[in-house]
Amino acid sequence: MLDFLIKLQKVDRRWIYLAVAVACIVPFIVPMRLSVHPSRETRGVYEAVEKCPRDKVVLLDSGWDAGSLGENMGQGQVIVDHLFRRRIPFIVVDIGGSAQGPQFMNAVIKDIHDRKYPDRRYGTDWVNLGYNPIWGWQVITLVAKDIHKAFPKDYQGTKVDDLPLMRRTHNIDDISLIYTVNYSPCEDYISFVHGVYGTPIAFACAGIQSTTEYRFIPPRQLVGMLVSARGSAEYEVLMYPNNPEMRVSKGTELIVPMTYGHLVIIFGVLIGNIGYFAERWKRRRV
Amino acid sequence: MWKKSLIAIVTFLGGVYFFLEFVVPATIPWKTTSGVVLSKPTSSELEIGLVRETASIQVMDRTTMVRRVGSGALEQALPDSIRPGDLVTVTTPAGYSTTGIVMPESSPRWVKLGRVAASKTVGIEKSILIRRMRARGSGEQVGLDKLNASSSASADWVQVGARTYLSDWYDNVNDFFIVLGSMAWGMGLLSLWLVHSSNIRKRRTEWSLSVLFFAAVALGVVAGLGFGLPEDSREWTKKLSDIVMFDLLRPLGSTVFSLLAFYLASAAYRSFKAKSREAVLMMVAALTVMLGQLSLHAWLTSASTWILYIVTTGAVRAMEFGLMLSGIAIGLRLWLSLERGAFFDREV
Repeated sequence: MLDFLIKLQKVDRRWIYLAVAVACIVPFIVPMRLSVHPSRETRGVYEAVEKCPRDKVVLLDSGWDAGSLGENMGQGQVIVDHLFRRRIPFIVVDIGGSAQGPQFMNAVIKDIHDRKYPDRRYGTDWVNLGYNPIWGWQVITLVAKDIHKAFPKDYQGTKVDDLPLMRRTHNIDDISLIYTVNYSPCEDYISFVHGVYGTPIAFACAGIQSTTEYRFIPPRQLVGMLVSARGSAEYEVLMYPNNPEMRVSKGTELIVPMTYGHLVIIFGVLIGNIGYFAERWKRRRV
Repeated sequence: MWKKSLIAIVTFLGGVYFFLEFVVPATIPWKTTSGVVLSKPTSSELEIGLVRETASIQVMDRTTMVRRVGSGALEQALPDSIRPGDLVTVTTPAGYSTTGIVMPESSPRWVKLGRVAASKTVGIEKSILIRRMRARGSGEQVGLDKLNASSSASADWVQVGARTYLSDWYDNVNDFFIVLGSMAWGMGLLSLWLVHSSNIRKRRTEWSLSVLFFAAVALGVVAGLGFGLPEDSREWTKKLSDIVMFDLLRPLGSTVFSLLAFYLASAAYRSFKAKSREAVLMMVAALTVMLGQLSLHAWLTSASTWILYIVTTGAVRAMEFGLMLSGIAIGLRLWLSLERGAFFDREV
């Protein structure tokens, strides 16, 4: 028995790979649901969007790409769904994120628009201003002061003055919330926008990146944060508390495989330690 | 040698500008008037209400604030979003209400209210700078046409005075950084071009991958021609753009990233051993946070939240503080050209 326990810390890595693969693939084949408990940081974002007035816009900084699609796509989907539902206009920008950001976000918007809100119009209910390669406060400050100067054209090359939504949006005074969805959101929003203008900021980021961002929530520098696929799954629970069939975001789709994948890792750590202690115990006895 | 000196001079001057911009006020203090804009300004005059503090109120969770806007309507205001110049009514949890103009010294925790005690008309000349004060006391330069004025509702709080000139250059310096950053992209491409073309010319190991690099760049450039075309466009460049984006980059990027899950599981299994007290502490915290990220039970989420909000916040702030101090030290060394190392010891 002791030898078996010792062997537990020397399991071939291929078995671990197989266990992770099975844990992540099976939930796609056999549909399962887990109860999701919205966290404080997710509630913060939801409540901030609920408080947004309809005469101001939400700035959606989306710089994610294929690499973090599993975590960020759902975070983009739920916010677009919520803004369309409340008919709050929004502006999509990509400030220093991935150059592919605008196209990925466009695909998300098109999907939700076609499926649920076909009456919403580009130029009136939302605009996509495309990509600016400079990451950091320089462009962020410019957007706050004069968004037309930072983005003179939208991603299709249309002059922003020709878009009805942009004709009434000039600077930070016209923005009620900034929601930045990225693998690692730009913290300069906190110093250079919230710190100067007081505009509420919400982050949506990858799980691994979230630990360094939690510190902004207690002092209310961030109104909330969506963390990985869990954040978007929780957000959908808040949006559709009594209609589970309406929860179709990437987050809800991935929360079950992600949970089982994590459980495999935790199980691996536990059996590795059982093997380690068994070996130590045997050595002491000898 | 001259290139090195040029870099040192530009770095030094840039540092001097930002240091002075940080410490020198935007307007000459003894020639500055601060207050709320009372009436619509003309091209030559601005009427400013001088405000005297009448109340200082601590903001609690159940403190409510109502802002009176230009049309006379009342709107709910959050402590984070009130601005100097706002006319607000603050009601404490005990039911005590106070109305007044928000002063620039206010913060989301303490609101300082005042009332107009006197008014002053300031002449607007070319040398005069108008700064509108925002939520956290930091101001922004604005034109007369952008100011909100009112004597009976929320208006802009301004500081008007003779300029110190440094603030005039702020936008230009900002633009310079944006141009510089854009040039870095071109430099990156140029550098890749030089490295990979040299690999091909000299037939270095795996030079075929360099050929692949040029093919990928060419494909990316051609596909980029379809970027921004309408969704229903039948242009071949649009189709190519969609194929590159959604059929190549998307699955490739997702695949590479998802490989991390396998390596992470294997690495955690091998290295996460309770070999010391510190390792046990780290393992317990990591497992609790990981369990909290899952949808298993509400109390697991609560335990994880406590670690993330309290313990991690303290640790990250301490690290950040150390990082900032060392950042200042390194910044000073770079600024004064004292830095030595692989780059600075060589002739450029």
